[in-house]
Amino acid sequence: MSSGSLTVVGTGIQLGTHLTREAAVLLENADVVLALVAEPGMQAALEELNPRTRSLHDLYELGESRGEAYEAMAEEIVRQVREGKTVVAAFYGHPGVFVAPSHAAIAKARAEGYEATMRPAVSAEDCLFADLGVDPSRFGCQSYEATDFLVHRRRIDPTAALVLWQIGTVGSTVAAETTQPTGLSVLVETLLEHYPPEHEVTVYEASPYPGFDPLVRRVGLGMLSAEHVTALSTLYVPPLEPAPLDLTMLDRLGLPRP
Amino acid sequence: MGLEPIKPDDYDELRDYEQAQAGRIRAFLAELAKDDGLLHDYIEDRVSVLQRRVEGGALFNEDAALLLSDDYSRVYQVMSKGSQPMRWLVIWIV
Repeated sequence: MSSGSLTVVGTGIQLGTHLTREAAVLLENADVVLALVAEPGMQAALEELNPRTRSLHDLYELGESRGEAYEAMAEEIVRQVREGKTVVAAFYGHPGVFVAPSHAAIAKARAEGYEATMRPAVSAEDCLFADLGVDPSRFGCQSYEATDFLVHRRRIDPTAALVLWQIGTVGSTVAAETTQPTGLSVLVETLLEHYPPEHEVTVYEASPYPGFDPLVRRVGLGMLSAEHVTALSTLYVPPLEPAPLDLTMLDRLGLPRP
Repeated sequence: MGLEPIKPDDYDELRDYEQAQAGRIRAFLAELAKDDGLLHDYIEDRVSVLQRRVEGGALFNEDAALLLSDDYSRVYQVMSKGSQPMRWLVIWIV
């Protein structure tokens, strides 16, 4: 292994309460911390932990293709590793969930012979399960990025829950400071092929601050519009109906019929 | 407590006001993130912690009111206006 190493950590969603002790220790002892967080207080908290913290936001130009921005971020992270430093890259939420540059930086560092690892953290999905009281094991749970869901025509099972991420930027492919749900009406139309308009869905945002409740807006699917959505919104669509029992499978498994 | 923020009319003054408020709240939140005892007290009794901060001059009444409001998006707005712009993190999918 070459000298210089990379550890990727997540800050969790809520400032001060979600950062693991392991992540805090790694952050405090890093030669340099490169951070990409979604809340200014979080950036300040990281700078308190380690004054050698720098933001990666400068590499994220408005209107630029996100692919180019992520490549630039991964390169900047690995550039610091090449200098022989102990580098910690900190990302909002879970560093491996909906974060392209973290995976890219690890792959790049490893390909160049450096030690590179990722530590788990609290993701927005973890918060959703807790705040909405949803257990993914009960009905099953499908989880897609909203634009990905549309452009790849992902198949829906209406007997399982559906979580769609980043509905505040659905249909947008450039970096932005504001909500751009240009494809929200298309998303609603697509969902209406599978669910009735009165099916109640939840627009959800985990609170980034301790002491605050999450934002939870319940609305009939047919009424969902841009006014319900912010840049950090997630859409939770509950199951429409229970999944039918496969009696033959019960028999094959030797399980009792209800 | 429970006071609405009083905002000036002049645009430059408003910007300075928001940046100053964001700075005070940012410092408090950073301390909250670092100090386990303070976080514990804050989770148990936000009002008392904020009251002490206001009495000590680290926060103003309007800052405490903001941190006690029902909707965190107002805190987020103040923090975003008074800080370096944040770009939304969106994965590249196509």
